[in-house]
Amino acid sequence: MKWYKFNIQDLTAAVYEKWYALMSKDKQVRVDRFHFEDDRKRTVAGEMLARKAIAEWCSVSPESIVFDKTGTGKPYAKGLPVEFNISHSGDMVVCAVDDQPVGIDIEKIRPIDLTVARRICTDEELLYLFGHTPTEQDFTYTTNTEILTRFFELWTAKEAYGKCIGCGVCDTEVGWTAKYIAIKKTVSDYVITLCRT
Amino acid sequence: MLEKLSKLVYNQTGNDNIEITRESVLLADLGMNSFDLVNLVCEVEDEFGVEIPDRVIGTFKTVGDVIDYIEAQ
Repeated sequence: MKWYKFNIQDLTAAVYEKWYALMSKDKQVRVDRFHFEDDRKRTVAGEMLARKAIAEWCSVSPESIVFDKTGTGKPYAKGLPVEFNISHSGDMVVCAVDDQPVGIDIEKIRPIDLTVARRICTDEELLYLFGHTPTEQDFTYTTNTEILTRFFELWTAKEAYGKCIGCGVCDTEVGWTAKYIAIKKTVSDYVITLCRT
Repeated sequence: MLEKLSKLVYNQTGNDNIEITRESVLLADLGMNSFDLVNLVCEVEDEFGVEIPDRVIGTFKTVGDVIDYIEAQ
């Protein structure tokens, strides 16, 4: 498995236009619908990263790659023996490639309301997250970087696992700590998790 | 309802200089990701006193879908 990262602040207008032009009409319409420039940049950067990653993995040119979608909506590169997955958060876009299903997820570490933890974490994960059995006061807005880093490790692991096996975070009933095969990375203010079957 | 929900969406996207309508697509138009969506659902549950099962979250494509679900409860 290989993975790549890109900061959208490094995406110049010329580079944006080059990779936008290679997108399918459907994707271009999707990009054009976005209200915010950063959303457009993230999507175009994802296209660029995926084409470059797949081209390197398969020894083909980035321009020759044709994307399509399976019946369940999962994108794939037509006729090429490669699996890929893209994720973005904040200024960063990441892409993983492998010869078997792969999932990648990135989240910027930022203050959040931890009410969401109650919804997505198992008891074992909550113990890992807070370092103790949580009380009501724990499920609140926090700026605690250590807790936030652990939270986004859990979230990205669940998301990467779900993307790898083809279901959403809320469809996965198993806990991260018990089940996931994950590689965790921390790049600056971001947590990235990669997962393969 | 739309006004209240718009405020919750603004909380997630961190950007309120966009007009949100029933037709706004949560991911495609508003740039939300799956984390934002799950957070939004938590806030909607608190704000409107409804319970939204996990299996329903994936069916929310537009702001109108969320409103319809809340109104049906």
